Amino acid sequence: MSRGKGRSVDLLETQVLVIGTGAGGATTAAALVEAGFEVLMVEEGPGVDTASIPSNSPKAITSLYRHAGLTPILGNQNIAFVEGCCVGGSTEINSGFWHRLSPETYPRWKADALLDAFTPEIMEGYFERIESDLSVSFLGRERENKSSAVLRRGAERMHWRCAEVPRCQRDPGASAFAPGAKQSMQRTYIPRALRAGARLRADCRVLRIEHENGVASGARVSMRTESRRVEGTIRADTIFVCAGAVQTPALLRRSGIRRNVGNTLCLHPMIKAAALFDEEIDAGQAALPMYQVNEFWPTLTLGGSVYSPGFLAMLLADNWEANRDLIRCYDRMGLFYAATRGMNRGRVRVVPGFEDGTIIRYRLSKADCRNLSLGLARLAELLFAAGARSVHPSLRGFPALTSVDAARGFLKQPLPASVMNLSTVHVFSSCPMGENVDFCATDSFGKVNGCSNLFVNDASLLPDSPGVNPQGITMAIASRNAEHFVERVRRGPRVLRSAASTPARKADVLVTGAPGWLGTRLVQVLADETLRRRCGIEKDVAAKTVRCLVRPSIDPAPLAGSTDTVEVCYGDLGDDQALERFCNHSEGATLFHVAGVVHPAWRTSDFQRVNVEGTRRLLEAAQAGGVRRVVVVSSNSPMGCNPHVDQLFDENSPYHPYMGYGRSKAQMERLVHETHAAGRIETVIVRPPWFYGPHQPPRQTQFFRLIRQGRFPVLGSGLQKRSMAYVDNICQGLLLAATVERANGHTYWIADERPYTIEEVVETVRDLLESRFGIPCQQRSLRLPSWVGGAARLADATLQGIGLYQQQIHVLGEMNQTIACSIEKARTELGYAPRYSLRDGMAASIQWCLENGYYI
Amino acid sequence: MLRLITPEVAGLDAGVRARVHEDVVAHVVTQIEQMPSILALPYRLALWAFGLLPVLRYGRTFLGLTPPRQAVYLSSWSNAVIAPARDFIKLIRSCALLAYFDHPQVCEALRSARGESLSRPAAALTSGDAA
Repeated sequence: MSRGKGRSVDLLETQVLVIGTGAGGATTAAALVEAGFEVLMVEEGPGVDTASIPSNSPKAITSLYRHAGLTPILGNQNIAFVEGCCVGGSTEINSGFWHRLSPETYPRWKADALLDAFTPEIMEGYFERIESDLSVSFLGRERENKSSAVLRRGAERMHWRCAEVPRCQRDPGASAFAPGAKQSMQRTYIPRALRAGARLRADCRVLRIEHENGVASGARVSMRTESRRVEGTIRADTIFVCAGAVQTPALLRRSGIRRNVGNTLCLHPMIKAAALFDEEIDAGQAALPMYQVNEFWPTLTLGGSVYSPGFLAMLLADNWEANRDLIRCYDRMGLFYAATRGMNRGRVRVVPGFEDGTIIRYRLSKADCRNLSLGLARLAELLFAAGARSVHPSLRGFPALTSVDAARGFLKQPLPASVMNLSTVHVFSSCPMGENVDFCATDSFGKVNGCSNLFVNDASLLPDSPGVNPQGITMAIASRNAEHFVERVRRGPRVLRSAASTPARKADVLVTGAPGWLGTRLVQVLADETLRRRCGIEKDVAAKTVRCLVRPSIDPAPLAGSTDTVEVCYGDLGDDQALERFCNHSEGATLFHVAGVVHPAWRTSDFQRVNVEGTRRLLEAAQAGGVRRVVVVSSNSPMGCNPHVDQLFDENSPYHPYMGYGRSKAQMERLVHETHAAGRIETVIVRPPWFYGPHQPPRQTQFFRLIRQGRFPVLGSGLQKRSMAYVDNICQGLLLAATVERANGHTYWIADERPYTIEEVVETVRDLLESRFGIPCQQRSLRLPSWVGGAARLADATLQGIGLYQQQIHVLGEMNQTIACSIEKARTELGYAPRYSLRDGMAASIQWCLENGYYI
Repeated sequence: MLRLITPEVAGLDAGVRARVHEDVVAHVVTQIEQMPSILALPYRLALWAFGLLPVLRYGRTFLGLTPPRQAVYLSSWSNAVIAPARDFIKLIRSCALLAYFDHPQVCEALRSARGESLSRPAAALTSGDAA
């Protein structure tokens, strides 16, 4: 997974970037900034004060709505979709209705999405707190307007359940819905976040998220400055995408994150009808209706709709020639709706090459058409019971309904989708949260699967339709997830963030390459005695302080769980100042140099820059800082490939580097030998081959997936051998290399007990997936002739010759080779005794994938 | 085209109506300009086709037709068998009607005509509603 490595201007930098300022974004930003995080909110739309613009006016539509209200949802019948595109998002344009999540939804979401820590007991507290913040309240019968009274009257005569819906409104007495009275995000959470120190940039469109190897480093944006639009990057340690159920999946997909993203959109299709009464009902004066009829919930909801002569004319436009005269009695008309829970799932897709190539698709199912027909019939029944003269449904080519019997016709013969004029304002569920990895895009708290520091926190997360306006539910979930994030970080390591934050404590152990694959496990082992024992370390090698060098763009959360032991120093191997800070106050310490580039994103120059030059800088800083011993992690690549399947490399085998990576590691080893020869620092080189185990990168998960799908390429006979190393076995080797006195100046191969044939590796994984984890696998592999490996190697060499790198070609080029080593020297001199077999290690590795939401 | 779509409202004199129409045109143009870029191109093509296709039948563009012929031509698109043609007119009509009837001066004129409206029974307005 890699995107956006082009040349880019860094426009801004922040600890947490929140994309979107609607219900999800504003709640997230306020919670995080009040918890002490540095927060930057960005909003695509303008920063217009919505209190100055009458709600739903043409001016509001062109300035506050996305695409001026012209966003279609394509399908067997197009559905008009409106959402806000301004500071405050859709909370600035909606009716401010407030609903909690119904009790029956919790078990459904738990069962379908395997949602953790999501119960009424947990969520009610969030609802209560936000309701207080937003002044959620009722108008009460005494302030009932005429058009609402008509709806209530109809429901009472039909003996249907009808209730006032509470709204986010500061002063229930302030007219019906005075501009500024609605407690939208502009009036509540955004000013609160700004007061606490958050920054806000309006007119800032996020083009894509920049991420690599599961770590987001920033967002590519197009931002309006005082005089012009500029394009550049906002660097961030953590990113929350809160752009709504359409824009969030669109942004993730544009960024190359597609797993379960934008495939499961839910919505509430809504059909409207105008009703003509003999009495004056002043629907236009009442501005917003109060009641909803819940008799048929969750399938159907009936209610009053926003009204103005313009909105009435729009509805009548379906049959304009016949209905145009009705405009003259606009004061005796009202607009009403029937909404249903869509039974289908829609998709959000992006078309490359268009600045705004977002396509939303939803196909009305037969059940949807039946429910909408039923809704229209029930609505008309209610309106006639309330005294309507005629009901004018939003149906192309249909006459007005003048009797209840005519309305009941829709019950017998459902309307076809093609005649319905539909709209929706409720969309959600495009990136569902939960632990069901076949269905969910994020974990139970919004962390995007496969990314360590990228979160979604808006209506996209809802596993399915809640059957009501989702604002309240979105805010409660956003609040819960933000709180969980804060807790997660607080449990995490102490961070030495800036150049000024010089370490106060002396470090016993320094680690580069955490939180990477091996680095994270090493830190965990260093901090946890039980893990150390499990790895086979019986000696007490407990470290009081483990200091990790972490690249600024990487979330150090995986290092959590050992607050007192682990501290983080931000920087990288190319930054001399950061290395000086990292090695400062570490006299007598042990440095584990685990960081390195194995598979560069594109250019082979990274090998030299990181593996050679970075190591040189680190060794200099370590000597200056008084580090006692450096344990450097190398690779099998300096030795190349074995000449035949039964030969094993040992520590005396000559260098025969394999491609650019092998050359860089060979150079690195020579550099370490030179440093040792200078006599100022102790050095040990550890050579682990292909490793596996928890905290693995996406490429290793893909290895499991290919085996499951029967697409793993086995070249030739499959009897070529590979030495492999489970991470806990390597950790044992590293700790022994750090503590055994005689290891100074030596090199050791550290691997599992014995090499395995490729066939054996594939069979072991397949058997584990099926027998231990119940994951069905294809009983085959992709059998390819051996020369395919030779051809891939030739292509790899050609590419690397011109400075380019392609991971799949490189890996395929090695697949017909034997790369195996002997661990005899480590066994004899260090006392190394690997505890994990291939089967145990692979089982732990698969278990970790499943527990962390990685799709196999 | 917008003059055909938006009906006369009693109490709105010609000068005011012309100014209202200018505002409505500006609103519709703004809305079309803000359409998603992926839909804006086909929509502009449809606009172009709508303006030029009368040449095939009447030998003139839409703007060159007499108002009655324009009305007939508009009606043929809004009732077309092809859904995209109907949707094209529906979108312009909806945008225009919203801007027109929510225009402050049209609202004022509607309020002025309110007494007349109230004096008419609702039944009289529903009798000919069949589409």
